[in-house]
Amino acid sequence: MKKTSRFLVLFLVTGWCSLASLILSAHEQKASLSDVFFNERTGNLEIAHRISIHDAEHVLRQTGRKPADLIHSERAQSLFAEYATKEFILKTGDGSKIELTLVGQEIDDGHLWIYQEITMAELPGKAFLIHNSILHDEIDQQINTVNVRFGSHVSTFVFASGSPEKLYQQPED
Amino acid sequence: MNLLRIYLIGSLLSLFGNSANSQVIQQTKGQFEDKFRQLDEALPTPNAYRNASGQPGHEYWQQEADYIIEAELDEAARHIKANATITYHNNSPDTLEFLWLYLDQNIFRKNSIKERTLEFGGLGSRGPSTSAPGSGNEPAKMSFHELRRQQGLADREYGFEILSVTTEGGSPLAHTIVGTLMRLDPKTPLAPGESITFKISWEHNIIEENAIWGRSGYEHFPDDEREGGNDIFLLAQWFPRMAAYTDYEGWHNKEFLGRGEFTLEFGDYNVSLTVPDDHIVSSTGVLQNPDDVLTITQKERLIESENADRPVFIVTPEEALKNESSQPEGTKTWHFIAENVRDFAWASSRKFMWDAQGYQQPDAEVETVMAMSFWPKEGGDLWKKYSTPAIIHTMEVYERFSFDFPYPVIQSVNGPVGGMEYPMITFNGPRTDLQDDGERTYTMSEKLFLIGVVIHEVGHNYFPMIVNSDERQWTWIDEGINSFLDSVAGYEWDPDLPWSSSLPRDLVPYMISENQVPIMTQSDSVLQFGPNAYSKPSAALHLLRDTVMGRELFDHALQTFSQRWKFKRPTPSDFFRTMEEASGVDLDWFWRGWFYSTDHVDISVDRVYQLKLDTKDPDIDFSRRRREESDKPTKVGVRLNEEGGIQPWVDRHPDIKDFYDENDIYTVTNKERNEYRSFLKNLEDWERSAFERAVKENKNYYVLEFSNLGGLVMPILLKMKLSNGETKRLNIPAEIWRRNPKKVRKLIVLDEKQTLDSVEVDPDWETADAVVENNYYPRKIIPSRIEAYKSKRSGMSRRDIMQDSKTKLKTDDDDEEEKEQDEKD
Repeated sequence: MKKTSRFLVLFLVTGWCSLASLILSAHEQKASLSDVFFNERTGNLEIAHRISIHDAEHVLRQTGRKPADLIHSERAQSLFAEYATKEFILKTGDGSKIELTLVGQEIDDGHLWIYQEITMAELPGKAFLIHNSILHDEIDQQINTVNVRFGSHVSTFVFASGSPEKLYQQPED
Repeated sequence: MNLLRIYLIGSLLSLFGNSANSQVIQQTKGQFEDKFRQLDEALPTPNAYRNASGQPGHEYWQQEADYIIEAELDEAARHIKANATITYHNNSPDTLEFLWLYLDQNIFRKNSIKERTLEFGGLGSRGPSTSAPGSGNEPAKMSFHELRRQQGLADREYGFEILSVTTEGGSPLAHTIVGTLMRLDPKTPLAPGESITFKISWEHNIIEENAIWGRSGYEHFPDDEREGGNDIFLLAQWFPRMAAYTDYEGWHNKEFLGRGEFTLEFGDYNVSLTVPDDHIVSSTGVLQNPDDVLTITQKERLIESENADRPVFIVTPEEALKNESSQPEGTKTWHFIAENVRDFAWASSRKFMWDAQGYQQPDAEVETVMAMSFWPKEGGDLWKKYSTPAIIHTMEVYERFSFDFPYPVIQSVNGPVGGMEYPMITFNGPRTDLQDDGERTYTMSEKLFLIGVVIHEVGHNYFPMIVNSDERQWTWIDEGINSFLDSVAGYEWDPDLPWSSSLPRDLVPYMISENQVPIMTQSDSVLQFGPNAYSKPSAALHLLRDTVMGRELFDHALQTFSQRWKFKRPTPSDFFRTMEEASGVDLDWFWRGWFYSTDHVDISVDRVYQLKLDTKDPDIDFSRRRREESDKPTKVGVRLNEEGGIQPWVDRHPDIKDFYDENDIYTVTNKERNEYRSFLKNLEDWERSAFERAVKENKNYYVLEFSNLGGLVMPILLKMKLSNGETKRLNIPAEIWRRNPKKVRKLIVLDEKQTLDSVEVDPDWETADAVVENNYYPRKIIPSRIEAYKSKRSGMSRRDIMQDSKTKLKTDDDDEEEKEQDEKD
């Protein structure tokens, strides 16, 4: 899916590149929540992204994707999922990307959910880098919260536009 | 004292987990944490203005400010010029040497504190984002919105240009402008009970809302047929407003930084608005001169709408479309009066269509409330179908929790503001999409957004426009109560729509996360505004209503709070105190847990064991114990010996036997029978009859062990399944945790024939319990969200509706075309 960024990159000293502007209403929820869960039973690292339907529709509409009716269109849901999986990144300590499998997406509990997973055996060890820029380029002030759950431990990472990737370290349990 | 022995039948596995950190009163000796410590030591000391029961005290007072305003809108220049006569009544016991006013438009000055302190790449402010260069290759970024905002601020001067401040008689009045505030220094201090009247004239440029980001402004429509296009003007914070002066803070003269909203004084407004003569005006207040500004047809339609059972158009879509290309021939002055309101806002445009429907409140102070909506063609059918009905639905629901709507008018206006509330008028943003075929459609989520935002903003007319809490200090009071009630209204509108984020179950991911602050945190220091001020308090109130207090007690208490503080100014302590006083339920543990801490809910049922009463009768008990012994599995070695054909010595020598071969350790002798007899004989009569009854009833005793892993104490909601298929429910109040907030046990007594198969905690997900697995005994495997999704995915099918229903049936040629198109993308 092609994406148009609403952000100008400011190069130190030099100029800036210019892209098309998009207009938003001022009432997005501006918050997503992702759950990264070490599921010991299945042996998978499971990732569930919970995203405001209305916010996601704005992105689809503004990037010229139709239909934008997420509640009724599976195609719109999968278009958004495809976009989201490019914005949520796990990397190994040396910076190489960890390939996650897109399990699917659905509307549930008033939100759009996107599911990804990877078997724990494929993880590079007990630490990895996380970056979540879902909606960052499309919605001003978008805040993405990521909870990583390992046993009863919860580690929380918050990503605003421009936040760097963050290191997750599995606690000793 | 005779103690009865209870014996253990079986014990199953026990689990333990980590206790979450908590912020309640802890001791240095031992492990005690006082989750039930009464709140009064943390709340302000009650006084004559706010009493200990949460009522306005016997000397409660508040100030009053009355305004007479004349304003003129210059459409082409997008400019307001106005003058106001303000009468300020000092009802306080204090002598005021000076008065403070809010000049909120000054936030848009280039040198405002807000502008000068905007942090590059910072979080938390309203408005467009920027981001600082990251580590590595991440460049600094600025959004197009921020660029537009900066250019907008550079191109024009904003803020109030104060032309004059004078006494009633016209002599100059000393005044000092301090950022978004202005201090007036009357010649003599204003004594208690005195009033002062003064005049201010000013002008200001109106901001372009989509460029500068305020809570009002104009929106330009360049594509309208009219040359130069059209505008919608939304005017709020548009006049110098008296700052609040209160018993708990004195003057609320805090610079306006954009995030914390307002609290203001009640008063009467008499406002004349002069606008181009082809505009339609929607405003706080009641229109005083319809003969001057409306056509005969419009007036007739308005009268018709008063008793209609569906909205009636005052300006039809066709008329509005025609107006879009009209040219004004002059101006008209719309005259409005509003009594006992805390603010005044209005909207003006020639694009508006307008519908109205009277809402009847028999026996109320105001019997007919005019619910009205104003929107441009861009709002389309979405507005026609749902805006005014959603206003009326809001009043139907909210009045049950508060009071009859006390104003004669309530309006919803579409413009460039996503959602904002003012007395009698709300600004709401949702619109339709113009499709390539010229039709306007909207998605399900846009529909949900419109209904939700109209309910929410109209709901703000109760909280905080009438129950006048202080948003700049405590956003959660009005936003939390209002989010709770808007979701009650949402579920009463259509329980099947996907409303989101207001119930306890929606809050679990937020409540387990690490980056949060307690709800009782001052507005400007809140980390995550949405969950902190809106959804967590809303979830807490749902939990109070449906689970902790019950609807009858809760509804009565919330209504008491609303009515006590209607047209008055409550603080959080007045709310906490009133909810307890009116219900008789001690809720201090609840306020501590949900409002003063960041604990979450995770109650685990760790262990269940069954107990039976010892009958003391050796002839019964000994044989039972023998049976227990023989019920144990055969020792493996013995079984292997048997299988290996090893015959025990005793079997090989059957001729050698003694007493102990005939009698085992459970053999009853008269010694035990005599002991039993003397036991019975030594019992008091009441003990004996109780004992005999218990032996006869032979009940099943179960001990359930729970631990509190999340920290937040909650009622333990139990669902017990019995072996006969029966289900029993038991709600254990939260007070069970008062002596030990970490671990408790509860005895459950069942009849002889009833045995317990399984136990489930919080079966209906009422309490925001974060871990479902440990709510079951015996443990149950709960599929994760992804596992559940995988198992149901096979049978899933979804349909497209509004826009997709127009989809043409495809042929093979179409497939080819689409493929080519995809490649281009």
